[in-house]
Parts: sequence; C-alpha cells; structure tokens
Amino acid sequence: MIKYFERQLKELDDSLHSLDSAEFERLVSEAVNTLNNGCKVVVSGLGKNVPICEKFVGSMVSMGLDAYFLHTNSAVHGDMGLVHDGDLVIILTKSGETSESVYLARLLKKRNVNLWLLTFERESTLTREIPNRIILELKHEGDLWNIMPNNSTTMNLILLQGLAMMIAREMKLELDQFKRNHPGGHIGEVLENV
Amino acid sequence: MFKEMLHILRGSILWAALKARLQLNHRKVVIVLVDENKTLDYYAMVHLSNFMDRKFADEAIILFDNKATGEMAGSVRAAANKKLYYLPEKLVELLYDYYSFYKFSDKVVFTYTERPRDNLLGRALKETGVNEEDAVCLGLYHLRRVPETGDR
Repeated sequence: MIKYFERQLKELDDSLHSLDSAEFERLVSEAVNTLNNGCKVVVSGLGKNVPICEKFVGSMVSMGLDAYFLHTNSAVHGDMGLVHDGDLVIILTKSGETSESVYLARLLKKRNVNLWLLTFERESTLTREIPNRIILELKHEGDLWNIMPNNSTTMNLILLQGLAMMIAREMKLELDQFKRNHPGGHIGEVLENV
Repeated sequence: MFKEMLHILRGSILWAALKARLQLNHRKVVIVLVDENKTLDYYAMVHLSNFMDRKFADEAIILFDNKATGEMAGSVRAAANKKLYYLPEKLVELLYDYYSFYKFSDKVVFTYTERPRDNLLGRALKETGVNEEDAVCLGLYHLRRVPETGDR
C-alpha cells in the first residue's frame, strides 16, 4: 500500500520540477504589487478545483490578505461583479480547453485585470490566449485510468499554498496579522499569550 | 554600482541572444561545462539523460569553453540527444554572473564549484565524503538519488 503513496509522491515531485520558477516568482511579485495597490487576488476554478481555490482563499484571508474565489460557472451569472480593475485573476484549468474557462477568460480579457493561467497543457486555447501562465507537466493522475482529477488538483493546491506563503514572506507579514484573524480553536489558544 | 549594473545588463543580453540562436524552449536543457572540475563535468554528461527526464526535456545544449571539455562531452555515450557549442570563457563567466544575480531558468546548470563566493560545492567535495557523482545528481540535477549509470 505504501508503494502507491510513494509513486504519487514521485509524480508530484516530478511535476514540481517542471515548474518555471522565474515565472512563479513573477506571479508572486505581481500578486504582492496587486495587494499593495489595494486590489485583490481572485482564483477561479470549477469541479474538483473548487475546494483547492477555497483553501487558498482561506489561507490568504486568515493572514489578512485580500483574496476571493470566483466559481467559473457562476462567474457569468453575476459573480464576475467581484472582479474590479487592478485585480489579479488566476484561472485554473487542467486542459486549458474547458469551455466555461475559455468563455470566462475572454470576458476577463476585456477588463482591466491581470490575468494568469494555471494549467497542465502547453498547447491549448488558453495557453495561446493568456500570456501569463504557470504550466506544469504531469505524467499520471494516480487513478486507475489516468483521467480523474487527482494528482493535478494536489499540484494546484501545492502551487497555490506556495503562492500564499511566498506572498506572506514578500510582504513581511507579522504573526499579529494572523493572530488577529484566528482567535478560535487550538491555534487561537496557542497564540493567545504570544 | 553603475559598472555592475551594466555587467548584468550585458549578461541578460547574452542570454537573450543565446535563447534566440540556440532556439531554447521548455523542451531543452542547457549544461555549461566550466572545466573547474573535470570529474564533475564528466558526471554531468553521464547523468544528463536523467536530468533531461527530470526536466521533461528531449534535447540538451552543452556549452563548453575549451576543446578538451568539448571532446569529453561528445564522447560520453550515456548523454543522449545533445548538441555541443563552444562559448568563450569570458562569455561563460558573464552568463554565470547574470545567472547568479537572477536565476533566469530552471533548465540551465553550470558546473562551477567555487563561484560565486558562497558556492559551497567546492568545499563539500574537498572536505566531506560527497563525491563528484553525488554532487551532480543531488546538488546540480536535484535527482533525489544517484541513479545507476544508464538507469533512466
């Protein structure tokens, strides 16, 4: 059984080493600039990427950083209203071909936002249309048929959590900013006397 | 300060020129053999295919600054699809200074052991049990292990 997990860890490790870290650093830098300008970071996904986006937003807001989740489907039914000029929007799509994601991207391109793509395909409609992109390689999803969103969503989580942590580091956040937003639970108790 | 900035700017122009001339893209890795440690350069060629797999690349560009290193690189059979180019030592140094200032690609590896000043690879090779093969696989190529020769 442990071999399965070891194989998946290797998949994730291999995928991580396909990351263009210069591009990732640029994303971090532009996200920091966005927040410093009083704008926000928006992440948009659908399907299994929804809880991944929500986790990223949860991490960001717990540090007092402005971030929102925009469901790719609901976006065109009014939710796009949360996207304002100057925001940085990251669209998650494994294939870069999902029709809802393509539709949303084309609508967002008409706005004054900094659009980024997080994907696993180098050649796709969205990689052609969005110049700012983080592209990862993935050999196998780790399911029986190499079709389920499994390792790809884990990679998205790792990347977005890394983004949140790098933003916090670049912005030199103090523990107080986290403490203020997290009085509850064991963490709240631990931080009470800090 | 101005002189240093100009130097870095020259490095960035050199990198842009190399990218265009060698048609570098995400499917290519670049290994710069600097001839500081011949054994290290040799193992960089022996495990080149492993590094290419690691970086999802199907071609390697090898830059070298002297004839003997170029001949060695060409003679290592384990190194699969590769193209060799001569780059004068001064330009190799310029490129590395720029790389030390700004790591412009994850697919470029230099075999320097003593530069820049905080590079501990040379000391690790001299003062610890780390040998050149370990240094290449674990330090330069980040393979997480030292593969058997020819093990891909």
